[in-house]
Amino acid sequence: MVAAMGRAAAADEEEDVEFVDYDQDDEDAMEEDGRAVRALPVPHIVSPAVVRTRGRFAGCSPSVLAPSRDRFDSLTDEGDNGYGPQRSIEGWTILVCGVKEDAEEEDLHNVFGEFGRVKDLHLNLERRTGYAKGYALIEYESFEEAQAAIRAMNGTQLLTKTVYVDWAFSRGPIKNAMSTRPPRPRSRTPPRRLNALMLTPY
Amino acid sequence: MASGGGDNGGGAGDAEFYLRYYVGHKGKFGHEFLEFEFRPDGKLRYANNSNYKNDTMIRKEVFVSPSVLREARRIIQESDIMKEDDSNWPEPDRIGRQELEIVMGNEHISFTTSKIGSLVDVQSSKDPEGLRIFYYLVQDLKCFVFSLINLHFKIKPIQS
Repeated sequence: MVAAMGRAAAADEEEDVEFVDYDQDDEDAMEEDGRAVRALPVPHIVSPAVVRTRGRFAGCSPSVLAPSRDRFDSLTDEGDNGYGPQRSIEGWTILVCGVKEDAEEEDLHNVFGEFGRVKDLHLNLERRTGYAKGYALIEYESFEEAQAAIRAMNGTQLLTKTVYVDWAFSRGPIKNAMSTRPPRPRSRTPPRRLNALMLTPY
Repeated sequence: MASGGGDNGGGAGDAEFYLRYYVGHKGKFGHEFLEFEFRPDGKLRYANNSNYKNDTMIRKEVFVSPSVLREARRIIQESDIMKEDDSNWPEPDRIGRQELEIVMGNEHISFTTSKIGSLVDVQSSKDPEGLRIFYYLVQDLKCFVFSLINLHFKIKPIQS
């Protein structure tokens, strides 16, 4: 009961915000993405497979982003939505996963400096412990350097732990995001295109 | 509880995943907020609005690789946030509101609470254990997203 009241109060508070009904926005989302994997706000994303929903805010989702009709800045060329890695504004960014908790920036600089000059490196720390959170983001000037680092380091040992190295950014959506969802008969996507997408290997 | 993590095998067929975080308030400078979301297709969206000194809204979006989504899942998984419940957390108030919405595997959480100034607020709440998990998770997620946005666009996200 208390939770319900809280929810009502929360809804009132949000009234003066630009609060667009999600369904009105479907078309925009469609245009923007131009493909079957649509920019859907949560209520649509949740499939029947989701059996448990919890939280006082469930169903409210007044996302400021979701209904936004304004353009978001992106580095992807208009209408690109292709495959493969996406260049960052000043270079190529890779993600290293499985970084040992006591790793230090210097360890990563030493190892990843082998493939080219490391322009930028983020080894973020877990706020609770102060140890490495387990990932690092590394930027190289050129595609070739980044690719060499991925090829050489992915699946290898770094400080006795196996690390996984991959591109951080993509030129387009993850194609197989569709395959985990049940078919959606309400989709306005022409069936032909949908089939093409489902068959395209990522 | 294995339900949330059962399908976190790291394969290409990772089950549904969605993450949205919002923190903001409405005050002297209008509606100031920070929000980001990861969508199932890999789209990361980020918006930051501070009207202070006529700052304009920053809106950025980029597709992240499956590896980045998987790392976000891991951070969430390891936090155990999916086992928590916000029913005893402080209600959003004039100072502000936070929202955390996650769909992972077959579970969906949509939590809301007030802004948390420090661990003192966490300790004095009715659910210090749960709120502490939320408090640290949010910081780790923000840290991850700020790094991604910062590296990709070379802008320095500002705290809301």
